[in-house]
Amino acid sequence: MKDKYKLKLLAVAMVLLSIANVLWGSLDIPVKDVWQILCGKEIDGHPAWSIIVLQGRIPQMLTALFTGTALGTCGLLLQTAFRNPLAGPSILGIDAGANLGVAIVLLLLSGTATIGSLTIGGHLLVVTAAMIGALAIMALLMLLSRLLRSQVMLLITGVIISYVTSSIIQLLNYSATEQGVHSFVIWGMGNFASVGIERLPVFLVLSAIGLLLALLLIKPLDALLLGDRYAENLGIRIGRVRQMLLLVTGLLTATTTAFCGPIAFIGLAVPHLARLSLGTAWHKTLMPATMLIGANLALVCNLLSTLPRDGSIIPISVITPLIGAPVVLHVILKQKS
Amino acid sequence: MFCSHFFVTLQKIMRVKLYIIIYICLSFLLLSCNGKGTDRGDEAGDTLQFRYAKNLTVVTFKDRMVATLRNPWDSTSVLGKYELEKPLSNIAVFGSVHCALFHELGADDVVGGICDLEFINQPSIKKGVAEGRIANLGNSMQPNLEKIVNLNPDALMPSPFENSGGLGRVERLGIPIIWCADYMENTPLGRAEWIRFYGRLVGRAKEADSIFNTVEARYQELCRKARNAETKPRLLPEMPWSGQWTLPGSGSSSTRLYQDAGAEYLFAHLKGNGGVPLSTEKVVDKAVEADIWIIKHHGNLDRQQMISDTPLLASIKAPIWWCDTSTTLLYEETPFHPERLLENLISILHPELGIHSEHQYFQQIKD
Repeated sequence: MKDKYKLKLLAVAMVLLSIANVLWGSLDIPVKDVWQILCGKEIDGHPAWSIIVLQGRIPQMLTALFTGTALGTCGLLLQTAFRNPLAGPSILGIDAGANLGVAIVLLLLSGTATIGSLTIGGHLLVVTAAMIGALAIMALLMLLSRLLRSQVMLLITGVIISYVTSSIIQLLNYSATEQGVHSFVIWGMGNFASVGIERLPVFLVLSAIGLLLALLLIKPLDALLLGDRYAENLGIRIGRVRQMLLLVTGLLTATTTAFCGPIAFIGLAVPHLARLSLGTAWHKTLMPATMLIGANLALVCNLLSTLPRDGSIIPISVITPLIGAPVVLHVILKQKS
Repeated sequence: MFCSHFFVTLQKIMRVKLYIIIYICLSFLLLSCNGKGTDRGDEAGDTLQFRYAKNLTVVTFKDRMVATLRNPWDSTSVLGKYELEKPLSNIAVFGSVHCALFHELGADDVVGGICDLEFINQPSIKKGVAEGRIANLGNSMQPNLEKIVNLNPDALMPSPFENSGGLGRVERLGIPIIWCADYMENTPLGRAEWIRFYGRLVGRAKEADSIFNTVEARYQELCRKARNAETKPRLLPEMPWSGQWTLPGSGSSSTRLYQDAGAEYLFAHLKGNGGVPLSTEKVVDKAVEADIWIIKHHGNLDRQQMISDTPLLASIKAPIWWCDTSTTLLYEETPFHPERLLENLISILHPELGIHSEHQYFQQIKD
């Protein structure tokens, strides 16, 4: 009952934060004007405002909401599966694959790729490259997971993949143009504003599929908490669950990293926040709580990124650890006392 | 009692007089040096008058030249001071811009080594490297120490950047490092004027002065024409990337160029000498007023793709002029030939003036 109350509270907070994300941005648009725009009216003298609200802030809010949900869920799945509190979406090297894909495009190809008579560039190419990079690493991990019996070995493999990809990225950085390095650094800081209204459906559908599949894993994950042998006794096919888990985390990490760039800390911190605030390890309540806390944290970070009133923005990956770390420490200290 | 008091007063007066005499002597000495730089005490040199460059001082003597580079990030310190007795004949050049400059000065042969070969388009340099006459020194951020020692150049010419920490071990080789801080000048002609300094380094002072005088005359002529134009189109530069839109600040060389081209730069109020990152939302709100939008971009560009990437751009209706930096020589040519870029910009902003630009860096995107 108490957990349900907390979940409801988190859901209400999510709704309020979503509204705040539409009302508040780096440009000061009066609340009544935002309301008029949402009602389908144009604001005289400000032709850009309706586009800013409808095609800028709303997609950005939805992107933040789904990214936070997806990354938090990934973190929870991996921490349970590997029984490692430090596991997060970056531990398997899937986002390193996305980084590599983007590095190849921006640092080696200078942001443009030509395949036959087709030339693509811009954000579409970045998303495609990141997706290919992340899915390639995910496929490699799924293949290796069939060969490697131990989960620890799989974890080590993920870490090694991260090292290899980062050394290739460094090599590419070393001989890249100033413009290429700048573009890559900016992309690496992450942001929720890159998903435009055209690509939003793709992003939402892919994220929703990943999240629904994650919800299907609630029972096997609970069984895994009791140990592999016990889970097998309960009829859980461990190998299949591991494959499914890789698929879900791979899909969610690939989608969020491809569309928003690497977003640090949410995947690692959110499951801990959920566990500590609910005091349970059971996924039936832990997973929805993780999803809601992830969404709320991402929405708060998105709001904070527009805090400077001179029109500049703070990169998301700068804010997430700054907000997440003290919150985790506070919760840990509170639990101890 | 009275006597001793009298002597003390006399001593005080004498001391004050002595100070006054010393002060007058020093003043004479300083005044006699005004406008002339001396490095060896009694020898007077001619100070080269730079009309636009702010970070350079060059004093020429009978037998040598003394150049002082001011630190652009800290006006109280000096980036480097060089004394040159004979022209340099073997230089390790770190950038494509300076390779192109030496080529224009007719001093290709002074380039003994280069860095970042992959970004250099100069055919004479590429040929020199292929034939082994010019050493490829690797990456400019971390040049190959052994190759530099083997080349034994008269000087190294890297570009400095703020808090870079220098060139590490390379600095301990004892080879003079001439920091090419020309890009930190905040006017286009200020940067171009550095050609006079570079020309003197390689014994091409006359050629350098002549090139700069031509550049300056054309630039000023174009400025006059642009000033007399009846319209002042509102200009929006660059485009957003990953949620950020980096725009030139009020003190930057680009802002000056836009103003010289007779444009009303929409973000001329932004503080800063370099790029100022802003949120796309903030820029778009004002950008809807733009008459012309100019973008420098590596590779192809079309409006539809830009709007797909950033939907907020749909509200900007200004025609887009785009410079493909991968195919044009914008970065190689225009630092020391700002008149070419100015000419191109004026031909875009003020077609009514009928100025034809030989150098077409920008082309209009067909909507």
